Amino acid sequence: MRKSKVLRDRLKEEKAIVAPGVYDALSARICEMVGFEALQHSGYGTAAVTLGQPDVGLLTLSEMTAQVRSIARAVNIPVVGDSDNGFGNALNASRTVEEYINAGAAGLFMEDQVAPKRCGHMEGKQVIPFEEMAGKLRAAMDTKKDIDPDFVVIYRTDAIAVKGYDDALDRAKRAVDLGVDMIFIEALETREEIERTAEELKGVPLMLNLIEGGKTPLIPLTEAEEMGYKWIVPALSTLYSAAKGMFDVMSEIKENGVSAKYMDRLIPFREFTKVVHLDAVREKEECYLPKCVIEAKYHGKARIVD
Amino acid sequence: MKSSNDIRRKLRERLAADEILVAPGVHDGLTAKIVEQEGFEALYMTGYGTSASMLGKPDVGLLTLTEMAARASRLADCVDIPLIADADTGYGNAVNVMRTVREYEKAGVACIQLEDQVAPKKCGHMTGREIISTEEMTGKIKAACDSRQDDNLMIMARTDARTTCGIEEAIERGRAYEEAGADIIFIESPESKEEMKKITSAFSVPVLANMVEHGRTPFLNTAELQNIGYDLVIFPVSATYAIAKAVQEVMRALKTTGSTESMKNLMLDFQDFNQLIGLPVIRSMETHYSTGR
Repeated sequence: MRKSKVLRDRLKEEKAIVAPGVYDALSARICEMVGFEALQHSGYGTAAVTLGQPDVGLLTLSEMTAQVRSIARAVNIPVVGDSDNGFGNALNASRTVEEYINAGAAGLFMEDQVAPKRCGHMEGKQVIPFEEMAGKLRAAMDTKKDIDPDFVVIYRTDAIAVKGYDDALDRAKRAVDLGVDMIFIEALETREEIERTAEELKGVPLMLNLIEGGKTPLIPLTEAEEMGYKWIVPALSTLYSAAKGMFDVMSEIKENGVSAKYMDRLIPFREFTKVVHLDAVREKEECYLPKCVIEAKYHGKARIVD
Repeated sequence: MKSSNDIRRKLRERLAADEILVAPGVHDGLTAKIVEQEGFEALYMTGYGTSASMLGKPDVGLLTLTEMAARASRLADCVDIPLIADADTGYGNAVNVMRTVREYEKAGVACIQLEDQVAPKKCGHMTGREIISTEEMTGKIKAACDSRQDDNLMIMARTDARTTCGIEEAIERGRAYEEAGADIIFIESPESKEEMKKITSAFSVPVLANMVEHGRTPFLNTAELQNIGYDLVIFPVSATYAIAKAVQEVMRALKTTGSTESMKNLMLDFQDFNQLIGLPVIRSMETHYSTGR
């Protein structure tokens, strides 16, 4: 079944979906192994791992699409793409939807920031008028109707920091009237705003973005679910834990060299084969390579890493 | 194979000469090869043609920096003459421009063209274009100049102000862009010979003429443009339009007559085509490196 259908059906159920933010195939694979049922692609993480740069609108549609494709290919669960501001006007938004669908995304969120955009938890944001955003959302929905009607379109508004909470809420309600599938009010600043959003938009699927050190208070996932949030995203926990883990281990190696000391803080050779599904490679070889080639390669050994 | 740095130096030197430099537009490796083989000293990568060739779509700002830089890189690899490459608006603000210049320089272009349109841009001969403030554009030009690693990489500034704000404003912008560090000025779509003369007498850096068949600007030949005082002229879409017409005619003949027999005069033959795209060079490499085939 197409992943967009899986996601659309799942969104109809009562229970919330916790969708961790992922930034590449490996982080996606790990979240899938841990048991998450869906993933949120992160533009912030993509900028960090592909450019080594902050999330300030430097990535192109081509680069973001390539990352979404790489993530969607690596897992068997729905992936929602971060499409920034749709990389231009309504025409670009339309191309963006096409590209993301072809890359294997189950949906995307598109925000109302002026291009070039920046991370929703940074200062210096600007937003376009809602009328213009409405055109982009309509373009997005019309485009997916023909190629993948189940594709989920999420409207993200960055208006709180620019125009205040009431304007953001008003934008969200107008987007609901347009027929978007989900609402994402970015960078909610207080618990009251988190609660009020859930009350005012009752019945509408809602996304909550939780970033360690960001503008939104880190409420427990269960509370967010009780309030009615449907798509709960710890967006950068993968990236930040990877960064910290690498810093710690590499600092240890810089000071004391390679050793068994930090084994508890990494996944060593043998265990890592599970992360990248090495056994599946061996199975395919058994299936498709001539017996004599298998024998010449392995001399009777059953696995690639014994 | 010449190095990108040498090719870039050649463009700068050539533009200092009196004779007008003619840079036909190309949209792919094949058209680039043809332009070089016909003896032109430079070529121009057209965004308009690239959009048509890559996406099959009009030039309305749909192409990404990644796609344009990739195409520029392929074109630069195909030829040993300087490539002047269209970079639209620089794909964002001054910070994006810095990245764009780095990508284009790595791609091997000799000159990068940046325009003062609001993103997403449109072809300069279409209506509905909007422009950014002079101040914002001069910031982008300064950012471009500061981010090149090879000083011989030329920064061309194009203004689209003529159509909505008039020729005086367009020239004033051109002057500000020259002041900001632009190496070549491109005033898009002047509408008379008088306007063209005004343009060529307004700048101390080289000035570019854009000859689009059926565009908004009087269609002059290279000698006339040189007399007016232009240093550089592009015919950005001639190759794209010629290919479109030729392919259309051949395909129509195939559809209606069931053969391309009657159109052979419009097509290169097997030998000539192989020659054009450098098969003899490959053959000599095979011998030289003993590939065994």
